[in-house]
Amino acid sequence: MSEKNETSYRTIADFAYDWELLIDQDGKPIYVSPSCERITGYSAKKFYKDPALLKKITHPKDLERLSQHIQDCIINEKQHKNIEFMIISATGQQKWIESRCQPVFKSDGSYLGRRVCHRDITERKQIENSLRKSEQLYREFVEGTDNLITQVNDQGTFTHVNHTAKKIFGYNPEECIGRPAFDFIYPEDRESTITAFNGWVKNKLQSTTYENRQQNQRTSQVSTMLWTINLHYDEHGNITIINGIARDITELRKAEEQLRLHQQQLKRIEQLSSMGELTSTLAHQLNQPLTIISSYAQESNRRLKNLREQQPDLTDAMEKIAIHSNRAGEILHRMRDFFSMKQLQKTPEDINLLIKDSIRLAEFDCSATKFITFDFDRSIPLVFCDKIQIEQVITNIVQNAIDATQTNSNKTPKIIIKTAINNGILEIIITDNGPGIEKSMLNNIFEPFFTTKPKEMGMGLAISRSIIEAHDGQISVSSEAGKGTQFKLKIKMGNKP
Amino acid sequence: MNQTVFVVDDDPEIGKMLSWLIKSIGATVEIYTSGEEFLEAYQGRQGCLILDVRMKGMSGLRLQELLQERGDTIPVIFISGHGDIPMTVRAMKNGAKDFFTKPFNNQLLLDTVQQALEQNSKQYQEQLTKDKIKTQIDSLTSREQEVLNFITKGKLNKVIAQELGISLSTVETHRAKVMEKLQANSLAELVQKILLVQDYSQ
Repeated sequence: MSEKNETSYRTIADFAYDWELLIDQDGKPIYVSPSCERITGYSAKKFYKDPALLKKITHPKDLERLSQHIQDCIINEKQHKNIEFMIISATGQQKWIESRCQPVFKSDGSYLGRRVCHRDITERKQIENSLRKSEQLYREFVEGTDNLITQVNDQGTFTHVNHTAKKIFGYNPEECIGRPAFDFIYPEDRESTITAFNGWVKNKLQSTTYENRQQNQRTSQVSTMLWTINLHYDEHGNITIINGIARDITELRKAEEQLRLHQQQLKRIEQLSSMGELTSTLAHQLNQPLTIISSYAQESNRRLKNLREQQPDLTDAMEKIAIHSNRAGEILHRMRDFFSMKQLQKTPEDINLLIKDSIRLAEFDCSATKFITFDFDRSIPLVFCDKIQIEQVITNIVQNAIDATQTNSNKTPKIIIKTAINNGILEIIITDNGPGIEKSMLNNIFEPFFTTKPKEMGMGLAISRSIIEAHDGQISVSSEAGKGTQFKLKIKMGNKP
Repeated sequence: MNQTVFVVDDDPEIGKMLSWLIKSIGATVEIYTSGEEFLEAYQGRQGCLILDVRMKGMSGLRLQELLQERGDTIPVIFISGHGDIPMTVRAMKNGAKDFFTKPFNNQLLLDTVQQALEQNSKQYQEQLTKDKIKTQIDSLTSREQEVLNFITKGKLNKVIAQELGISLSTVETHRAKVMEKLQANSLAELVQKILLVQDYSQ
């Protein structure tokens, strides 16, 4: 080898980026590239001087592995061997080293030693590490949640689902993968879901929310799911991946449905009782003059018959007036019977719960309900009553209390609902701090069509009274101007249906 | 005896009609349009009461209960625009004489009014009798009352004399005085009178 060649080779080696080494058969360094200083903080000179320096700077937990590796290399001299280990640099930094080790032979084939390339892979390790952490985090999120998580490819088949698939679809995640996603949609919702999906793709929607029902293929159970969907497209605008996260809102929807039904029922009963009360009032009002006509006719007839001079035409006519007014009266009675709400559906009820339910269901203005406080006697046994009808009474009186307390803006509204048992009689007392009711009106407030509100029909309290009386109870009111109003409902306990 | 038929109905036209009707049987009628108004004017007089069930203010049923609580026995006849069963039962349980649904048959109502007045009159007479006997008993001396006690228990004069430690002739004198003061002609009559008052006092 010429001197020039020798120089250029050395130059290449000296300027190598990685830490290059040439080691003789005994493990002593023949050549150490200066780049060792960049990686370890120790100069090449130090490595020449102390062949054990590498082991000294090796991280204690890797030392045994490294020693074993070096031992192997000495025994199996023809082997290529790699190892990754950690060192602690002169400045105390931990660094990852990837070491590639290969045997070197002279041109005559005799074993010269080993060429070792140490590469600083700290940065790569860090990236790998954070990747692994992020992967772990992602797993925990995806597998730890009760939400259903799915990924669908451009073919519409599942490429990923989490464990919740078992509950919703009836298949384990691995069984789901490769199956068409639309197969798991509840048949009634399939077409509408596909239509919606096509719409999103057409409009290149990035993300959307959607509600549909999915069906468990093993148990046929249907779940209502609320989806958050992210759609991904390639550069040509073709769909590539659809990611979905879905929450099972079956119970929520069921509860909402029940609430809606109950409210509907309440409204229907309200209308019906309004109608009944109206009929009843009308019947009562018409019945009065009919009674008067009937009795006058009967008496007139009796007196006509007693006259010395008989008037058969007149007595006949009088009799007809009496008969027909009686008939009209009977029609009114029947009409009233037809609409009356006397058929109570009595069930044993926790009255405190019933009151809370009525406040909750009544759709009062939220700002108003916060002024309502409860003073419940918790020891009240179950009361036999018609739940819906009593709810109607409570709602009605509380609505009046709310209206009353809203009229005075200087005072903080206060409505108290108290329950108590007094000598076997259940008492519900509703007190407000509104402006009160004028004395002259107090006697009339339970009468039909009596109202102080221009938009109301004035049936509420009349119906309430009918309901409480149908429960063999009493409703009463007391009021003081400027202080408030108190309604008292009394219902006998222990009256069985 | 003065008897009045009191009519309480919040519809004054009904009141007028009933008044016209009842006057035909020769009774005195007073009409009121509320329970409160009636109570103020009534003051425990004799007669009977025709009462509307549902009225503004105090209901007919409440008024009936109120009278009962006061121990007033005036017969009550209900008239109602619509008599449902529970309401009727409640009224009858509280001792109502009858319950009519409007429109009603005049004759049946008038018959009931007659009966009610007779009932009231009988009650009144009984009351007078009882009051009289009570006054008579009160007029007895304490010794006479003791003797009366023994007589009503069926004890012979001899036994009474022994029990009270007095002579037989003294017992006989007391006995004659008791008979005289209670205006009884026979032992049977005397016992009857005493039973009437005892019943009353219970």
